[in-house]
Amino acid sequence: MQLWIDNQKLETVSERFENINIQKSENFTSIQVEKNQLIQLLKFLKEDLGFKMFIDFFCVDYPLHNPRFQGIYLLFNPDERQRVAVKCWAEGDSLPTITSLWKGAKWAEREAWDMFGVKFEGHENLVRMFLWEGYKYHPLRKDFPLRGIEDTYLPSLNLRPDEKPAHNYSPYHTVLPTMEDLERTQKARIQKKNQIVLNWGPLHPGTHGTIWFLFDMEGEYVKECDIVLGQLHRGVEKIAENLTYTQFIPYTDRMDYISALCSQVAYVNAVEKVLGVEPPEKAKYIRTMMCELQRINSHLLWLGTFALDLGALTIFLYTFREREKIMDIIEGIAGIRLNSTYIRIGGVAKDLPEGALDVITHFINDFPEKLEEYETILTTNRIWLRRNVDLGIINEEDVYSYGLTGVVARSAGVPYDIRMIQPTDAYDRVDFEVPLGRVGDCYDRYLLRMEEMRQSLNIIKQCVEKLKGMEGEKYIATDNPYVLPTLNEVFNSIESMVKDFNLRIYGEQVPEGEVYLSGENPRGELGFYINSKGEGRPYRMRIRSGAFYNLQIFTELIKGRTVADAVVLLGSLDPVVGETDR
Amino acid sequence: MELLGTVVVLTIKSLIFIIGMFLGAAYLTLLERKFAGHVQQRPGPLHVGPHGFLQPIADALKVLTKEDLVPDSVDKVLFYLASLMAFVPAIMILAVVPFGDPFTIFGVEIKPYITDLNVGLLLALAFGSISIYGVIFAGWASNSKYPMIGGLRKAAVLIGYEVALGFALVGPIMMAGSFSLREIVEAQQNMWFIIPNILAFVVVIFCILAETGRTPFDVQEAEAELVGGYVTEYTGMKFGLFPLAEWYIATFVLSAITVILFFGGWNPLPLMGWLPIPAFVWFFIKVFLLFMFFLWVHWTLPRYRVDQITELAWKVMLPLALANIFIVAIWIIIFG
Amino acid sequence: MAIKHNNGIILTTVEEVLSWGRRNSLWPASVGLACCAIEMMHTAASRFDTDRLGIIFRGSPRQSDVLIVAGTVVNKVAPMLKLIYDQMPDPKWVISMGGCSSAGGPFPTYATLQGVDRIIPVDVYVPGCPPTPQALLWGIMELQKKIKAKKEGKLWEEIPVREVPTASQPIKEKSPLGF
Repeated sequence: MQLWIDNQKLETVSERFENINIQKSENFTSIQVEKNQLIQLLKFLKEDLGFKMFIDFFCVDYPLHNPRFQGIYLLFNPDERQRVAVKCWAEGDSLPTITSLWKGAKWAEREAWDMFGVKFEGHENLVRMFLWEGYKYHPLRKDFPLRGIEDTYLPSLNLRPDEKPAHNYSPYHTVLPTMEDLERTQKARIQKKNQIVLNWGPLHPGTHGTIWFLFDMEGEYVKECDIVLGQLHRGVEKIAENLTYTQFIPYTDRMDYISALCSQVAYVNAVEKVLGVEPPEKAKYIRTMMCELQRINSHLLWLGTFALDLGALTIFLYTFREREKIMDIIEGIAGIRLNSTYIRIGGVAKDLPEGALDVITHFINDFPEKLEEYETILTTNRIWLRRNVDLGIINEEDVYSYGLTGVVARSAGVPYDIRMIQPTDAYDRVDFEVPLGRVGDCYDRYLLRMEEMRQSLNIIKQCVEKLKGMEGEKYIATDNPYVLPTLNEVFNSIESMVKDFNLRIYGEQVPEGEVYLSGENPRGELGFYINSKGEGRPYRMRIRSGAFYNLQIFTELIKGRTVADAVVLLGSLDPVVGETDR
Repeated sequence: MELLGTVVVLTIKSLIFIIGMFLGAAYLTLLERKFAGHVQQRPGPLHVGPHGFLQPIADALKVLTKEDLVPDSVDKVLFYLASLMAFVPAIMILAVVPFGDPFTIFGVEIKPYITDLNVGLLLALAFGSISIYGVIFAGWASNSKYPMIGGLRKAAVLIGYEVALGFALVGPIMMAGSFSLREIVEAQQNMWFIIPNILAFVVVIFCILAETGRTPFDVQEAEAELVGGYVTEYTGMKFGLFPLAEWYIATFVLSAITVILFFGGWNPLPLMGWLPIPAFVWFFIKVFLLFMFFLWVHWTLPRYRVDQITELAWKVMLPLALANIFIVAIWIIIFG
Repeated sequence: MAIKHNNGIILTTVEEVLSWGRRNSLWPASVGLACCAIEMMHTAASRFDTDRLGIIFRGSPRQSDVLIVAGTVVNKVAPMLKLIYDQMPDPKWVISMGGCSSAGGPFPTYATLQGVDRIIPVDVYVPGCPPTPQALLWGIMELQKKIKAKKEGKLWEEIPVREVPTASQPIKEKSPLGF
């Protein structure tokens, strides 16, 4: 199912604007526009054609082209369910800011500045998004090496003088920031206007990883807030440009490590789309089932840490008890507990082991009771209500302006669920409901996630029923030339061995083109933009992270609230740093 | 000569009380960890000593021999004073808490209390209030943002609940006609004071939770918000004194006072007076049940926000405590 | 440490008792960086329960004894991690959990610190990506052994790596079963 802009609208655009270049293909439709017309076009798309939801903005580097950088804006029309991409060359390495149209572009533009060195005219505070002030390079440029520039002498403290290092160890390392650099980074974000500036994070028990919040506070009330990200920026997008498509699958796990399987499915679907691979029916159901198991797993972790942040210590351990069961199921099926690289291009890595469906059936029969238990302790708890109700209200306008997705968008009543809008795998053949919120506060988001777990159970139940009748069917489409053969085939046939060798060494030779496809992660829309130049590696891979955009609204919602509310708010937005920072 | 004898006896008694409380508090940590473990479907300390029985000893050894780190930026005098200010008053309350009736062994009369002051309850309240200073000092002296916020939060909570607690205790005092804790217990031989004072009891429960910093009122060291609250900068035993004083000794002593005021102290349970159980055993059973109740609340509920806590103190608890005085006054007019 | 050439039994015994106390009450600072933090949480949760061994997580580094570096340390967070380490009072230990913090793991990039031992000394490396809770428990018990060995005045011997036969170097000795 394709969601790109229809021809009628494209005609309207081309009538209105001259000098535009429309590229229409099956997987990606873009309108290329001159820099001076960019704002008008975007405004036209937003106000007249209904593309009011901001999805993503990113840059692509073409070192041999002049101008060098191309900015790509992704927009969505929520009423007619259409996407459109707008491309614009950054003449003079700069682009006009679009933060006046969509507030959500603020961080995306900071990221483009950080990664490519593209300036934005009129941006309110263009600072580095992930790296620190004083860092000399723009790492996603094509001429910057993956390993960075190793110019700092930083040997291991554990290596004895007489010892030979065990691996290819170099005493030189890429540059580390000093404390002064970090202080400068902080000062660039926020100026002290009130009583104290509180550094909440980055290594703080309450910040869900390593997010660094800056609160300018008056008493305990937060007046101004900004967030420093990048404490887990590992350069995943740069890595993607240096690996084959199959090799990149493990990195999708390590981005959103709480919902590894969902990220894998989202990525693999995008690659399959551009390769034209159709996975077998069984693999689709397995993927859907595993995704939903992972969704429950992720929501359980959220519930546990959310309750822990609010002081209910025991819920945390109760949810982890159920998580262990799901982890065991995943370990039994995929072989690894947490970062299970289970999904492959064209199917799944292994068949379901014997008895897996029985274990899952047992779990889905057992789980509603436990869910009831959590709800008994929390849902109508007076304290829980006082902490959650009417806090952090998000309305529909915010959703479109900030590009909020996932539960955060649905709590505001926007029915934005990729599983419904653009069903991949077996989602179009299972029956489920998308719960929507009415108020848009933290309590709504809590209720939605609880309800989503029930819906996920329902989906798993249907998948298990279906899979019971599929025993012995093929779980990976190895007939396709782009799909890695199974181990058994490699050992038994010479053709498969050659194919395996070719694919592993040279990678999948993806035809030239672009694709943007997303999946419904527990944290929001996880989209993959892949730009292929017909090689075994992507020319540019952009990961549109749901948590990145969801977190952005935190700075607005916290204003006038206390630090105690920050915990609740952050918990209800549920970011994962691995995904926001990539 | 008689004076010297009294001094010696009192010193020995105090030492026994203090050392007993130290060891007791150490093992209360084990009790809490075991209790929390079983609430959370896990075993709790298990491998250090038989069934984890030596865990508090190991913890104490470790904490006592840890490097005593004092950050450069702190106010050194207040920094040291704060941990003492938190700990000493908590243990001082023990001076007026009786654990049972005087009894005779081998012809020697033993009084299981240090002194029986006629203003015992007032003294206990006064010492309880002093510990606020420990908290504020700790927050201020650390010269750091999180301890500062934690200390101020705790101070706000304590001031609110001290007032409510003071008024809630008036009811039992009116009924007993005395501030002496021993006389209050003796006045309850026929009927426990909880019967007309039920409102006061509710207030006292809330106040103890708030004063000892247990959920739902543990805003001062809410880990997710403030790392460790006002103890963030403390290391070693200077740190150890705070939770020991707050979570264990204060909870224990306040539970004891609650039992004395509302549950008849060492009087046996109704209809069970014929059992051959010594008075102080009855007392400890009641205190432990109450202590367990606090643990149970702590490991179950989420926590309030600090403004909600103070709101609760001034808008709900204080009126309730005042209403209790009114009810008890009517009760005394009718029955007394 | 027991003073050598001193027949002071008392000193040795005191040291032994202290060492026993220290290794049975290791409080880690709850610093979670990435994926490994999830497994660290699982280790602390009901099924594996580090509290059995007397291990409870403390929020403040001032009150903790061991720093479990759980996850990828990137360049930007490295100075702050070092600050956390410096804030811990002696005696302190470091467990490097997982491939990323041990040697950069799967992220040989411009942004990632290639091994946390470049900024703070590490006592135990736990392999895995991420290590399972069992592996982390192994690491903690390995640290306990190390503390014990240090008390006894012995140099801690490296954990012997089992020989792996390769095509060029088959294992020469007989197997324990004698064939």
